[in-house]
Amino acid sequence: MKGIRADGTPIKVMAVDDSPISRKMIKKALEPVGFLIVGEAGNGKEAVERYPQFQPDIITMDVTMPVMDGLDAASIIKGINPQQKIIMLSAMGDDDIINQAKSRGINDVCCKPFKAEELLEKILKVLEN
Amino acid sequence: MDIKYINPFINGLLNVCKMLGMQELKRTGLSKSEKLQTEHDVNIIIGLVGGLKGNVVLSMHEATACHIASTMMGGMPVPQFDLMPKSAICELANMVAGNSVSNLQEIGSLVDITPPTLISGKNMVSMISMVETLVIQFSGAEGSFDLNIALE
Amino acid sequence: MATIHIVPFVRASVSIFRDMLDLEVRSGETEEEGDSFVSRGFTVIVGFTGGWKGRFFLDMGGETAMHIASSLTGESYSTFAEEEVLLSGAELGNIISGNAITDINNNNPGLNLRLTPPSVFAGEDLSMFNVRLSSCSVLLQTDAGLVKINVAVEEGNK
Repeated sequence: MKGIRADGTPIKVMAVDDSPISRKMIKKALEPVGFLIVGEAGNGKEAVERYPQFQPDIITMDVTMPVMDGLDAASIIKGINPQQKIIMLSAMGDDDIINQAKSRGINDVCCKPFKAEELLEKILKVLEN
Repeated sequence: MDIKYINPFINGLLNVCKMLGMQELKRTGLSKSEKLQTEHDVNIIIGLVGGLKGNVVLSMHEATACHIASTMMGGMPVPQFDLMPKSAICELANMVAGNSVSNLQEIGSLVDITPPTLISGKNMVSMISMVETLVIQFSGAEGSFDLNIALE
Repeated sequence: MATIHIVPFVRASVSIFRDMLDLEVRSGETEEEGDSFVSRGFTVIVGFTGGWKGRFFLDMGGETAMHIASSLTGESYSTFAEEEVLLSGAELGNIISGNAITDINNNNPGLNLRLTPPSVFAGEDLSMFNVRLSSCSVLLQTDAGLVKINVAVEEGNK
């Protein structure tokens, strides 16, 4: 299963999105192939607060969220741990957002709606590097 | 939610309603809700984008809406909630939003508003926002209604 | 009546229905709508401002809404009033309008459209009224039922 490493341990994912439905869809895409969703957050502030306890291999981060958006949360998390891998998910795919994501150190962008295959391939590619 | 962003809406509503002839209107309550949901049969929603992002919903029973429309029309009887009172209530919401935006501008917050949409029905269930919402209750001669403010 | 406003929303809806919900759109009739319409019972509303000001509506019956929620979450629902059904509608509206607005902004530099958070209304005898907005509807036929896309834009924004 693609979400399980050679040593048998699952890849740990933290899902950050203000839509509980979106978080369910991410779980539905990743859990059947072995990924482990270790934690969730509903906005950027929660993501920053919960991140240390979950220690994910990778974070899926929505952009537009209340309280604190995904771009700001990513900047803060990268500040705490520059090695942390983050994939941004967004329904707004314009160049401006993509450039902003890159400037915050976000490793890749996946547009919504995402196909399960596309998301997991992007996750695996980011973790390889 | 910062109270400084709420007063412009409260003042906007009170100013506009007074201007439209609703003399006895008073704010009667303030409460917080985890999300914005309404059960009233008439809801006017205005979206906010810019310095503040979210939704504002004016919510009331049909009878109150008819009474308010009547006051706005100089006391003309409004027996049915048809096109005329619907337009009147939308105009009210639009003016309240416009007034609130000017008030917000004065405190340095630039906000853009969408045109109002009026949603009416029976046994309505709604989900307007999943963010913390301030529900401000008003009451006057025409009846009582809520101003729901959900800012992200 | 300007159909330029609705085209990106229809395009986004058709591709998202296919990619996200596995639903093919069989046909789509266009109708000019006045300032109001009667809902089939479940409506998602997303507002936009900037170069154009108005509203995007995604309207359907309760059964269709439950089918869509089940497609997204894998769970089954007994009523359209359940929170996850409302949330699924909001998510669908959010993604369709996000994709449409991206398309519009990329093709119209300077237009700078921005979206409000989505809202969902469901109930009996539900109707929508937009003062001074002219609107256009497209009725999409899918295996999950009829879905109406309506885009209402403020006059003078053409």
